[in-house]
Amino acid sequence: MSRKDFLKNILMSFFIVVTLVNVAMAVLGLLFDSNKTFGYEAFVSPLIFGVLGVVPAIVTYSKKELTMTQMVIRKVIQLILLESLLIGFVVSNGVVRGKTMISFAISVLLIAVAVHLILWILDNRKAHKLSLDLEKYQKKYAKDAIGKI
Amino acid sequence: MKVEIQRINREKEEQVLIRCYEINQEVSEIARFVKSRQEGIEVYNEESVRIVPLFDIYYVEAVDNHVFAYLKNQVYEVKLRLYEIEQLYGEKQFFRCSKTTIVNLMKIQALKPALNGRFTAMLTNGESVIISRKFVPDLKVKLQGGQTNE
Repeated sequence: MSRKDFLKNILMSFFIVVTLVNVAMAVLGLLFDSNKTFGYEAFVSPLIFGVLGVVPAIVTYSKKELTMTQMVIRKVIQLILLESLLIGFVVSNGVVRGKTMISFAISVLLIAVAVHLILWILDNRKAHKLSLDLEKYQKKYAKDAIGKI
Repeated sequence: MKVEIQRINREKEEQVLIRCYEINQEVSEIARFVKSRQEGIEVYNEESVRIVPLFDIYYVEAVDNHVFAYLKNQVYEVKLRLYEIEQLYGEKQFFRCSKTTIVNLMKIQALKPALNGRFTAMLTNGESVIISRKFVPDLKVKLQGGQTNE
């Protein structure tokens, strides 16, 4: 993957992460601390989490074409780094403590899975469209070959 | 359909003549098959040198400065560079799908998503090749009738 493609991928992941962090914050907040109020600075935290969320993606970058197994291994490393980084961040800032830590870790995992699921659904739609185009191409190519005879 | 094979002298040109009532699916397939056998590429292995029809090649891959052509069950070395194959056959059914691979589009059964925006081309012989994210826009153009890879 080229650096440009990699950055494009990171940017797309960033916006998905920000959206999902917003959703997770709303759900967790309503479940565990529904009376709490926030100032405008609360809008910044999804962006910070978004940046922290995409930084571990660096491990998936490679100039060489990675095999599926290599990519899966790197994705697992990415997830471990993601959990460590985000948990480290919230612990050092005293944002999350005790019981909510487990919920936070699970939320991070769910968001990471959801990001990949969304990207996979988009790619699957693209692959389906390409497969249909391929089928048409194969028919047309075969037809043209006959026409040249 | 009756099949007849006639032996001819060397000085005469070989030909396949199909005599039919109408050009239906069956006739088209036979004609396509005959046509596809006419263009070939020179390949090598430890025992022999031979010409294989382009139609029989599933994909071509560059590995450590060597280029290999993968057929249904065999692998042969090709004495051409990958870019030369791309230049020679890129206008035909061959498509550069990654830095190291050129795939025969006629041998792809389906495309599936792989991780990180890449796609896997499932070939009709059960093998699969990766289509890099970088080459996906080119593939789209080629499938929709435009020429790429030049």
